[in-house]
Amino acid sequence: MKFKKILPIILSCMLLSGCWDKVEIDRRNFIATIAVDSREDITKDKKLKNIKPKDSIAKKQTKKINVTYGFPDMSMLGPGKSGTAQDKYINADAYSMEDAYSEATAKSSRDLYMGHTKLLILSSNLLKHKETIKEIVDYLQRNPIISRTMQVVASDGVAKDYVEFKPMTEISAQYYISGLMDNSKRNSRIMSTTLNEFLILLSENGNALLPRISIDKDKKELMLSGAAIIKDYELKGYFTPMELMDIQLLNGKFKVGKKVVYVGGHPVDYVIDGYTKEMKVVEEGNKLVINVNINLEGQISEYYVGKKLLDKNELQTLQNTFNKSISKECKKVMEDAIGKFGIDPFGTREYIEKFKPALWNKIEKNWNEEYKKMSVNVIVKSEIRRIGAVQ
Amino acid sequence: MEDKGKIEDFGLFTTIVVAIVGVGIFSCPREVIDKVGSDAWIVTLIGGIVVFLLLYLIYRVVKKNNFEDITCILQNNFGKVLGGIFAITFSIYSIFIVSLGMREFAEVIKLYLLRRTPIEFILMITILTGTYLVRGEIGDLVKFNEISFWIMFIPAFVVIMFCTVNADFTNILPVLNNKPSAYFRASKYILFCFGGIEIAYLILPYVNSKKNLSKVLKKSIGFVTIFYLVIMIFVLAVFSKAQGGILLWPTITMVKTLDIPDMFIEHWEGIVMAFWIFFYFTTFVNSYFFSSEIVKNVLKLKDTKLSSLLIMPIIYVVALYPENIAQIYALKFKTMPILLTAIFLFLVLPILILFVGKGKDHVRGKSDEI
Amino acid sequence: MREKINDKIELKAEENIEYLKELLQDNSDMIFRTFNVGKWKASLVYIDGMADKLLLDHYVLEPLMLASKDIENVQQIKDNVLAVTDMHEVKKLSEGVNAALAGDTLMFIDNLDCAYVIATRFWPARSVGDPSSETVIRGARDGLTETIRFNTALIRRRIRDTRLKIKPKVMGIRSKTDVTIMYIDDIVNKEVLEELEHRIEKISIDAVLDSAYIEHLIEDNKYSPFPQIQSTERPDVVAAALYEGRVALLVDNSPFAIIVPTTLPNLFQSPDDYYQRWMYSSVVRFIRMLAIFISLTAPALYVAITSYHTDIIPTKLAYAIASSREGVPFPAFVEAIFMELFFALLMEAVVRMPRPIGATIGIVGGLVIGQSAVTAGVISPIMVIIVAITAITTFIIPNYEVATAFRIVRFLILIASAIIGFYGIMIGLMILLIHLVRMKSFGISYLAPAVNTNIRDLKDMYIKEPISNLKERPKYMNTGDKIRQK
Repeated sequence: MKFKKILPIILSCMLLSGCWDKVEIDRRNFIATIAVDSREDITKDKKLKNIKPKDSIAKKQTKKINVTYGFPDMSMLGPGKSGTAQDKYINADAYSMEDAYSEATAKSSRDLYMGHTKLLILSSNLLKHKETIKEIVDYLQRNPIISRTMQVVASDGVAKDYVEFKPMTEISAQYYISGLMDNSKRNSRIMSTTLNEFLILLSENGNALLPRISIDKDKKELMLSGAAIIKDYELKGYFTPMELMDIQLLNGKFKVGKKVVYVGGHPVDYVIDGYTKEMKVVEEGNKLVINVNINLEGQISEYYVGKKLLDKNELQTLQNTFNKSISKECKKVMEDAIGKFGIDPFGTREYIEKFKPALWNKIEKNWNEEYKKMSVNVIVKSEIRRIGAVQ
Repeated sequence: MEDKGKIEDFGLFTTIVVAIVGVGIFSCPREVIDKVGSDAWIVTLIGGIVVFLLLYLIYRVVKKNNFEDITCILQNNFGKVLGGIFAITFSIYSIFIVSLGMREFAEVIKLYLLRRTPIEFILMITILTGTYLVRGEIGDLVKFNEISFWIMFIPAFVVIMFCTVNADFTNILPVLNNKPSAYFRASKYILFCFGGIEIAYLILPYVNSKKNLSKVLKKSIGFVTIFYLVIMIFVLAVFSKAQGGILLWPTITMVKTLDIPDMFIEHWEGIVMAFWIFFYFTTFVNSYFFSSEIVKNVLKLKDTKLSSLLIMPIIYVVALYPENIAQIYALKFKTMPILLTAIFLFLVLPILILFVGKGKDHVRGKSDEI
Repeated sequence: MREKINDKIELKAEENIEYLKELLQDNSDMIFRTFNVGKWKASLVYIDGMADKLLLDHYVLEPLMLASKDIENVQQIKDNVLAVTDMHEVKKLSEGVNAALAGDTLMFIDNLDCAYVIATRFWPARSVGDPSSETVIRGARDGLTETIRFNTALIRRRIRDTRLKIKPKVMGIRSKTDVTIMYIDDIVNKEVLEELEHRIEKISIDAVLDSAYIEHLIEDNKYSPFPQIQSTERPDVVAAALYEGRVALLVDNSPFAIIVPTTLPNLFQSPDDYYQRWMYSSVVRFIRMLAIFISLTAPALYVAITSYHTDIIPTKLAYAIASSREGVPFPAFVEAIFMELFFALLMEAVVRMPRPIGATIGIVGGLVIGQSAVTAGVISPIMVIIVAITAITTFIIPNYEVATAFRIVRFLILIASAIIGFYGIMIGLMILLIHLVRMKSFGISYLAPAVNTNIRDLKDMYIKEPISNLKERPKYMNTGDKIRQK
């Protein structure tokens, strides 16, 4: 059959000229961290509006951002040798993320590969520039290779320092930060956001919460300290870790956490491990009221020698104290979020849109003002189930 | 015609399912969610019902003409020349749609798997593989469909189950919060995703037991509709309608967000892409065979070997014709001639044949069984 | 090609002998014995080494000599004197000569226009031993031998049904090899039987040295790497196949019987599946499916993942592979080809070597050379692991020919993956699937029961049910009698 004779010829042509995408694994640089900073030129981006599309670009580029790529250095290892790789960095000044990639490629002996990137650090300076952030977000959305399970954090100050930080227990900063964020399962003062969640939140209304990391220069410690508030693609403020825990309580992402009240001058620690939340929005007169019911379960972990807790009334009093204290905190946080920042991390908008479509149709156009006028009621019901090993 | 009477119920079921489910699941969620937001699943349901009616129409036509193949039906009812022209139109329409689909498929492969490989190469390999199958008989095609059915749907359900982790099903609300015209515009897109039912013209003449035919047809369309429904619901649940409306290929991105900790495979999209090659390929090869059969019957050739060789370069050229992604979608959905041809072929022709045509009504049974 | 033998039997025994001596001159093992029986002369022709001399001495010559005086007419010799159970007349000399060449004894008597053929076949034969290529954990250990009559006996012991048919044929113009077709009359698929006989009629070859010759002359598709006919050394496998409605061919001088029609799932079964309990069999079937998949794609997957799509594997594994390939001179594809070649050479060497050395070479070749190559930095350790896994999974497949086919296919898929990565593997597998789908074996699809499905047959491929549930014969075979068990 003629078919059979032509086929080998075609195949041999392909073999000789082909293999277009092949990159040997040892010629790749696995980028683990991307850190994006802003440079002074970023304030000059107003001038960009004057560039007409048809002008030649060459001389008028403003290098707005500085991108650092962190990766483990494989060249020290080989077959038979063991150990982990040291971290190295490549730095590039550019006007956009894609430009940074091409600048960095010129500085690297191996092919930069972003399929295994685990961490993206956006510096607080960068987050103040709305337009650039929008450009970066578009790059992240459009790129098919970038892993969407990558974690995103906002850094206090220059992001480059964080990439170059040498932590105690791990070899690379990326492992360390990721490890810190994994702890969010055990302690809800920390939150972790993946790129996918970040993009979804931003595409809905331009608002998001990013975990915030900061370095204590004297003690040489890197820690997660609360959250950065992004409204309309711009950094507007911060939440402290305590406030962050309350926010997680209110938006349903709480896992395990601790609350404290002072009784007789001594702190009573209440570790919460079970939790349900219910939210309702009702119309009262001209305003909307959000009613949140939170049920907590947990145990007392620390009080004071000599105080006995194995008494029903004692526990009841404690529970009431907790109820009042926690609901007051939560209410304050919510009012701050609504009044001061105007963001909605609690899913109020989604709630109204999904469950009260008639109401949504009415207020959709004036959503922002209506939201600011909302008042809040938080009712907390806490249960102390266990008191530990002694009474 | 050797294999007449050789296709079992399961073969019929899988052929229809597999010929319809194609690249549609990649791209149609975006269009539909963009227009009607969270009501996308309602539109899917409506689409399923409409398609079932169209398929039933085909069934009646074939039954009335005593299970002859499509070229004979058209030529018997409209005369040799006009019938031949209609048949060739069918063939050209199928090829056109499937070549555009091939280009879209190749683009997806290029984007996610093989970034620097030239697209001509990907197209050529796929077309050659399809030709290898088309040169066989219809029995081979049905066997291939049967096996592909399992290969396609078992991994698909496994992956969907894993996606439940990320899914928030309240994203499906609110229900019915859109203007009626929006539904109408969205249905246009959905109907194209259900394309491929013309394969019934090819298969029905060869079916073994004619008793259960309409039950099997109902089951196959039911299966396809449920599958599309599930995909639509999951895309909404994982992404919510905001992102669902911008992502070009939300199903693939949905798989990208799968994160099963401590498993052997971390990013699933490469593997899932590989399985989804079957989704496109089966649609392609069934339409290709259908067109080759028509050409063979109209030109009175001996078998499909020559007609498939004739069609091969046409597919290649049409696939390369759009210059970029935007043009693919424009050609598929927005050009008037295509829409008109589709309506003519699927709606007007069958109705004409049923009510006006002569038909080959050998009086077998007096009552019309459904 | 055909030899020319006179067909007429002369009335004088001596004339026949003279003719034969001339025809068969320069054959030192042909023995001619002329003697007197009563008034007539008689002579015996036989081959030394193939005829049972003891039988001739005691039960032919002795009675003839003793009764020599009492014989009145020639007819009496056959009816009353010769004390042998198996003898018949031949009217044509050529038939007689062929019988003599097969080990029987030819007897001429004066005044008879026919000759007698006395069955005296007796030659050095291997006793029934273990089937060397198909071992089972539990099950019979007798294997077919090179003598066709022993083989039919071994099979007949398992089928004592009157409807079992054993039809003889002679094939090979010079070798005149005995071939028998065995089937059970009311179960067999008649179309397959007709097709088989038709194809056998068309063969015109001078020698059939082994059943393989016939197998290759009657198969449907010579250009496919996959065998379409099953060959087995075990009589219980043959019997089970006959019970399913298939047809078996036995060839003299070959311990391998061939069975048609054969589908790919048949080739993946081992008799153990039926002798062990159903849970074990189902698990083993599942493992076999996995082994098939790994065997076909393991090196190709390695090349595709490391050269093209590194984002599929977990990050730490990617680092491990990258660091283990640091400093290795060849790209992954070339490594894979080298290792495949090396393994093929090793396997050929181990098969041909005498037994004690073979095992040692296996260890030396595999372990030592592999390890040294890794330490020298020529090959990456992961490649060695991949090749070892591939080799092990290939040998799980019970049928040697299919394993060889897989080697070829694996090589092609490796090349495809080197050109376009994952997509290449998928296209390669798809082409393989299309090829298998299009193949037929004597009219039955090669992939039945996975296609043209009956759900019941499909289930049997993957899950082996307890034998109490298997009530009917496989539907795809279109057998005559459909019920196996009530």
